[in-house]
Amino acid sequence: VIGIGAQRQGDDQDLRSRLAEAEDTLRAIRSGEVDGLVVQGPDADRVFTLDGADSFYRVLVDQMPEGAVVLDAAATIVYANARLADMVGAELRQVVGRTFTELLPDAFRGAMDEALAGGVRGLVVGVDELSVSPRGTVPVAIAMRLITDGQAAVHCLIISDLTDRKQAEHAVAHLAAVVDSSVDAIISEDLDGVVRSWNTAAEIMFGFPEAEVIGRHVTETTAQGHEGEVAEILRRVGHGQLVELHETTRATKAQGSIEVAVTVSPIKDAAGRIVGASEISRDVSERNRIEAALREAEARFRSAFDQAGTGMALIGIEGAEAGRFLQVNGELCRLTHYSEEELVGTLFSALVHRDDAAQSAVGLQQLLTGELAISIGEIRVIAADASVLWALATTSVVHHGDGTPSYRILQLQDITERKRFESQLHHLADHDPLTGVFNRARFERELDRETAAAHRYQTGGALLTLDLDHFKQINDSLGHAAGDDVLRAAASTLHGRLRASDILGRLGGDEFAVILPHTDHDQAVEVAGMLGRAVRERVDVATARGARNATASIGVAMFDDGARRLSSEELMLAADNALYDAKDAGPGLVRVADPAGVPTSALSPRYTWAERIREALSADRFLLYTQPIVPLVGDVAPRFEVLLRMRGGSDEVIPPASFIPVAERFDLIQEIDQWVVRHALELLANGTSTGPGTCFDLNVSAKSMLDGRLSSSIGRELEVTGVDPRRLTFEITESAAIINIAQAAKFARSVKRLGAGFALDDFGAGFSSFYYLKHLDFDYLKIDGEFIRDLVNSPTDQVIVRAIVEMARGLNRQTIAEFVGDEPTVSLLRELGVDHAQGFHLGRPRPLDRAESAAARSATPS
Amino acid sequence: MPETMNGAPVAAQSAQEHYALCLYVVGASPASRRAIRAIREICDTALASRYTLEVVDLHQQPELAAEEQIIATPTLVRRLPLPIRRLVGDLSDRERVLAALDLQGVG
Repeated sequence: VIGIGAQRQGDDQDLRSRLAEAEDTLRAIRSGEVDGLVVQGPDADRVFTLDGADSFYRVLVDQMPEGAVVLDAAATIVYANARLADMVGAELRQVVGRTFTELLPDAFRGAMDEALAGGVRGLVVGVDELSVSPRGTVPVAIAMRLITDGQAAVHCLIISDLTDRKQAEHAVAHLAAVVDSSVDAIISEDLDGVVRSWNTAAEIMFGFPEAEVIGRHVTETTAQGHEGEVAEILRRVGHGQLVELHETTRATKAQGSIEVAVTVSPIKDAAGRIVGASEISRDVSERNRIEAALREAEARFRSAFDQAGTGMALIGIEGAEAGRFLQVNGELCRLTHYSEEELVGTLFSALVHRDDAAQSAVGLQQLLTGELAISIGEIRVIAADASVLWALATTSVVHHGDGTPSYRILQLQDITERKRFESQLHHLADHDPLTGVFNRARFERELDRETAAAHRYQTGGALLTLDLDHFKQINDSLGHAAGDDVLRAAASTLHGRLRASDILGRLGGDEFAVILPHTDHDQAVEVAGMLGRAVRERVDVATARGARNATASIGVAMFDDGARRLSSEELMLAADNALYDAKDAGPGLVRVADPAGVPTSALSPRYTWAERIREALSADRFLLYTQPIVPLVGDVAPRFEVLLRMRGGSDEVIPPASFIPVAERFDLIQEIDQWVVRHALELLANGTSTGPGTCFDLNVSAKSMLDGRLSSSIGRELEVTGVDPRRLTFEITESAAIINIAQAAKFARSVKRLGAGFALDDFGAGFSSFYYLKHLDFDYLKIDGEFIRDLVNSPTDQVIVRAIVEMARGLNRQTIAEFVGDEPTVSLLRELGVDHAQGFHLGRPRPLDRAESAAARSATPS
Repeated sequence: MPETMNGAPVAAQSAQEHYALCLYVVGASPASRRAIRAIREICDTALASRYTLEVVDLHQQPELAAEEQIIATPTLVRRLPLPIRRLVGDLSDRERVLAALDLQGVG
């Protein structure tokens, strides 16, 4: 009950309170304090406002920046605000009353009709385009709401103009496209280093896809190991600084590294605060590689320049620098004895020998005009100590990018030694090594030149031939060394008596010749007499019975006898004839050639040597002698050097020194060589006067070697006779090889191709022996007798022979010693390792030919 | 002990109570503006930080009127402390509002 009572009491209180509220409400309404009443409707409560409570909304809607429109059920516009009219581009009064869907582009009309008919109550948002005239269309978003107003439903639409947003979106998209198409990696990060954007180039350059790096710290990916550097860059960018083209390395996903130039700039927000950093990285690996290669090339050039074994210099071309040293290397300083300071700024031409200046200038001109890419010449350079340096000067021009010349590079190679060597070679080729005067080949050239000049200018001249009387006896009785001394003394004496324009030559053996240009008959006879006296007075022959005077016979031939001019060959013949006349008349006389007796031998009262040789060839009046070549070690087949003699009219045996020089002068030596080859092979083939397996060494003259026909006749004879080619060795003297080394090498090759051997004779007599060894394919070296004769007593000769043997062994060749005179020499040679020996002690030359051999054998017991 | 803005002690009965108030208005009419102004003033002075106040615009949310049986605006509803109290009309008479909210003696 109490409970009920309490309940009721509560209800009563509530009721009273509600009544009081109702009274209060009525009071408030009556007193005008209330401005809105809520009235229950069939669907929902409706609020009725008093006192214009919604006038503010109206202002807001009329003025708002969005378009607002109210449509009735038929989509007729019953209300529109000013902004909508503005969007549509019409007056407000023209808009109200129209059907809303007419404002839409065709494509959107259906959708809008559907939305309206569907009675959408809530919010419909569509980003569509509103058709407007006359400006075309504007992009819009439409918010729509259905309101039921008692009897009828209305649609309230809010239409937002999206033009600005679209433009912003386009701008952003454009910017993104620009960034994405860049070949530079463009990334952005916040000030903590967290990556916010990552373009395509960055994906390619670093290998990390965008999705892998966005939100990660740069030092976890590309800037691994560069934490300090990244922090410093971000600190500076955070302070508004620009980090420009900072060169560093970045990591790639493939664990590699890439060299980049990074430009980092601050990113600011609308309020100007720095919120991040944009980082543009350019791949500079290739550029760095090229730069490094350039630097390396430069350094290499510099070091090559500085360290070069040839003198090098850069020389200016333009203006004040023209022709002056810009830069020189150490070797150039060493060559010229100038310091770098002295050379730089100096004219190169000041160092060039006057005689080479013109050649040097022409070369330079051709370089500058482009006629030559490189100019090479041999010039003389004057060093600081006034010494003359022969140099091979190589010059090239370095051009600017535009093709104009910049400077030239000069290389100077010291060829002084080579020049000296060449001039010595020329000297050897032209001079007689014993006496130092012209040899026969050069003398004949000089004679050709002088006779031609004398005939052209009608100046006249004379040729003298001079022969030492009894020279053969001197040679035979006193030895070769004494003979050589006499020849040297004679040459020196003759040379001392001649004018500078006179030309002296040694034709061979003891025969000299002199050209006297601009000389008439009387003068020539006078000079001849003077020379004869000089020889008698000045040239001594040391004999066992004391010194006695040498004498010379002299023949004189005039270039021009007034009726006809003689060729140099005719002159030689005429002078020789006169010489033999003189010799016949007695020692120490002078005879002048009889013009009527030249050149036909028929008119000559006596045979010339040339005729005697021709006759000997046709009548087989030559004899073959052999001298044994003895092996010092081991046991090999008997071997002989084949020597030549001529049989005189009264069957006297004429030594080769008497006829070989003449045979060479008259080109008969080739025929003689052929004769020797033919007969030697016949002898080997029939074996009557030679033992089985006997080997022959045959001498070949310089002219046969040059001629080239001899090797083919050797081949032919080998074929005819069937002799084993290994039984033959051909010898060429070193002085013959000097005349034409290429031809000598060719001959050596052809002989070896036939299967025969090749020996270099008189080795050591010439200046440049080693040079020939390099170029000649020889089997034997015949050591010149000069080193053997006194071997036992001469330590110098021993050293030389030892060196020759050593060298020959090193080349796998054998040595033969000539002029071996006694047993101690044989022992010493064996000790020195010489392979073969030859000389009077081991066997004198003996006649071999048929009838002669028996006689010789009985005459000289073995 | 909390103090009111004028330093007078708060009545013991209402001292610890939390007040949940709701004011129903329509739009920004002069009566609405006066009512919002008046109730903010009373709350700030008499209730300090121990109140929550909601203002409902029945133009925008007419459906809320039925929930608290609102029939006219402005109406102030005291949801807490219970019982619910409603006060209709002008709120510029401070004493009347305080009395209706059982806050006599406080302000």
